[in-house]
Amino acid sequence: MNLSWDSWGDGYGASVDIEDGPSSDRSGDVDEQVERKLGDWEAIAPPDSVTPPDVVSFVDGVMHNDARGWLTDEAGDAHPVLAASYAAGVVRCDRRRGVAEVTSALVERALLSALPDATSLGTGPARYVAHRASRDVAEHLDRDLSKLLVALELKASREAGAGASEDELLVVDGRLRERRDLSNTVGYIKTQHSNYLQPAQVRVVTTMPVGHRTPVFAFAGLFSWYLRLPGPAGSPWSGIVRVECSDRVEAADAIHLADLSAVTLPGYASRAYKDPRAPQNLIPIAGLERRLRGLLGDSRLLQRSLRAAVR
Amino acid sequence: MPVMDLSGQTSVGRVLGTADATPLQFWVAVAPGEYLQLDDVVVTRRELPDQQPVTIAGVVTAVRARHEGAQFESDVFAIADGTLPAQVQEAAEITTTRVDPELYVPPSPGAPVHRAAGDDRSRALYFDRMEQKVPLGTGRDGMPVFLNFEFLNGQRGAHVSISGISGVATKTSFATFLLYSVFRSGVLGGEAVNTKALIFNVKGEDLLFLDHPNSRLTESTASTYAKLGLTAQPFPDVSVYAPPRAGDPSGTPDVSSRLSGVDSFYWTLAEFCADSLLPYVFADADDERQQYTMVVHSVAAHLAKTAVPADGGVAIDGVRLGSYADLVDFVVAQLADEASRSFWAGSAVGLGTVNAFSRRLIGSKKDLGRLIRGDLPTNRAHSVNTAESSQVTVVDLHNLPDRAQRFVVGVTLKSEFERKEKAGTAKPLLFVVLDELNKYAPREGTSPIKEILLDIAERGRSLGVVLIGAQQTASEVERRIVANSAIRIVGRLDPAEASRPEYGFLPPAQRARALIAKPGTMFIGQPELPVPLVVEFPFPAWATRPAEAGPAPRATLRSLTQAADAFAVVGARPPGAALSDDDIPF
Repeated sequence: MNLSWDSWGDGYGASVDIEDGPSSDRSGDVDEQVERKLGDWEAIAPPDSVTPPDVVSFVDGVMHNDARGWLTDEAGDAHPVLAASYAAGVVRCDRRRGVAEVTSALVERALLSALPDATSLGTGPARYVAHRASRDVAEHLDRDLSKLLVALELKASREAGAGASEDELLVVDGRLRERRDLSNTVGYIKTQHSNYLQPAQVRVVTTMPVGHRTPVFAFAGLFSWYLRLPGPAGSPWSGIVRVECSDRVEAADAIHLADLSAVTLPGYASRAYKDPRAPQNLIPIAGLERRLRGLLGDSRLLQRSLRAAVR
Repeated sequence: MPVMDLSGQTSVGRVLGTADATPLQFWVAVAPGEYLQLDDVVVTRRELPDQQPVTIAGVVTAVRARHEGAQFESDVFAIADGTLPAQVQEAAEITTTRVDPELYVPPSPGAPVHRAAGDDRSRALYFDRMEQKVPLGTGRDGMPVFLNFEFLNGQRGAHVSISGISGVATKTSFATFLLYSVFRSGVLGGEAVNTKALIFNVKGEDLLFLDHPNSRLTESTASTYAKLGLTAQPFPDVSVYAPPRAGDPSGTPDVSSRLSGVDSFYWTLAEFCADSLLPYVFADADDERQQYTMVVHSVAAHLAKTAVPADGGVAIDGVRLGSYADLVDFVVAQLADEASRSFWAGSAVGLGTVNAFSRRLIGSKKDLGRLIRGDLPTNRAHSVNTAESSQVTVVDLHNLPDRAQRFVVGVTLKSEFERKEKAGTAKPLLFVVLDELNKYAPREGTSPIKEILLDIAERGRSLGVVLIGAQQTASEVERRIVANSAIRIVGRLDPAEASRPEYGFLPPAQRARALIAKPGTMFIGQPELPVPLVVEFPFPAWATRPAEAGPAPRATLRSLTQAADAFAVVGARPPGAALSDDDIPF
């Protein structure tokens, strides 16, 4: 077997929002009447009695394609290979102590290929563990890598969830997925690819003032709501994020979580001059991503080590 | 997260890899939970192929802390609020003091760095190479800091230059502490008895109480002395000389706070003439630029030739002169007389020059009349002579006008230096403490005193005369004197002064710190160490002002008569009680 790398480097450090498939309209299977009747849909300001929790934890992951290449087997067939580094971590923001600390940071590296007998590559901190890809197509390698990252994020979330106390809030960047059993946990979706609401309700979303949220709606085993983060007024969807939680809790608890998120998350919104993805890219998550990217290592060094390993 | 290395010592951090590590300077990232402060001594090791490991030791010369992970300055608020994760990372700049063996390789980034203690610290600061160690005080770590006596006693170097702002730099206190340390630490061995110190007291009566215990001495200060290997005691053997009181025919010393154990010093007219002391009357630097120096030397020579001692005073050409004023008037009259002028001033001197000399000579009458006497018994002890005096001789100048101060310093230094020259051996040593060196040896111009001080600076090392000079501004002192000082010491500095090249031996961080140094903190540069050490010397165990003085030592009772009040009535009511008419003695 012969492994060779493409000489063109891959892009570096794009954080990945793990979203399902293409933009789609899923308004059909949504129950909009969890909190309000359809006719009563309006922007809701969280009540004054709800105060942000002292401790909020955020979970996020980053990945980077270090090199793409080809694995040639004995028969002479070439199979695409992807070497990538990915990391997931938790940042715990304790407003009482005024400390935001990265409580866990997991870094892994993977060598993805469809060949069953591909071996791990490299040594020491730059060891790429062989993973079997689902299909022998270059595009699918990226998708499989995303799944690996989601699995790592799940691991980090569980670590954070295990150490959390009752009144802590855990915010997961992206969809909840298999984390529905964690209590006080919400998924935080910053880009809206799918539409879940009827046109009348969409109007409520796009005209919502800052700090308000929509009524809670339910779909696919989740409660969800939209809220608007503070930021410059611009397009109708500026500053809009969707937040979701598991439907294993009562509807009333989901509504409380919705209020809680509406008073908590605006405090973490980023500023446009500091972050091009403001305000949706929350400050702790941006900081965590920077730290995780630092832990991924220098991409040029990793490429060099990969090339050296097959020489 | 303590970092452990193979030897099991806990290290304080690791050599930084993001800043250049060089053999002479490198940065250390401080481990979480640890700290490094300025002046801490650290050590790191590097393994080399085919060589024994290199030990690199150094002193912390800068420390900084910053938020890692922050991009914008305003991020600090998000970090302090607890919304942005960031790490506080401290780093320390190390200036290498010693590389052992001398293989100048940089320390490897990531290598553990230890706080140096015990033998490591001694090696880092070269204390292990010092055969004769003079304790200077404690470093920031509370451990003793030493001076190599070989750089003070003339063997490899001599002289000390102390600079700093008046009042807060504690220059004279440190000079006396240094003397105490030299005398009492045992470095002198058997010579300690005969080694002498001459101290000129120029401000207040501060130095007149060196032999009195300090009543404000605390237990902790005494323990600091003990840590330095010294006992907290006053100087045991001190003689104090003061000028005679102005206008007092009996020549009692002019002091107000110290009443016992003070002797007065003066010169007789016969000595003034025979030893040609006249040039020291004209010891201003601008005097030397005038034409009349020729006249000064000519008159001095004529006085030495013609004056004969006569019953305390002198007789010149059969005229008896009983005071300095008489002598001045006589000389002025001789110079005014056409017939005698050429004998006294020489033939090629213009009348204007002679008159300029006469004017200045008349001007000196008031200042020097009390120091040059013809009315006191010649057999009375009156001269300052360290060889026959106590271990420490204090000459009080603070009551004297400027011209008289120069005269005393000039004549005393000249006679001491000549005595050492005649003795021919360097040992025992003579330490001379002189404050306001910029006045006696200014950078510009020449004067007889400056000549002597230059002589001491350049030849004193071999003659056993060690100058401990103090000044507010080293930049205004003759360059050759500062350049000849092996030990350079700085207390708190004036900001404008600190930027001058005379303080180039201080690294930039220390130069900045010298601006805020508190009393008792000195920066000491010695030839062996590439970095000046910051030292805190203990509070003096001897009184530095009358209010601090404890009971007088027994030895001072020998001149108790001067403390006796001639008008005290036997059986009078105790002092402080109300005075009644009956108590008035006449």
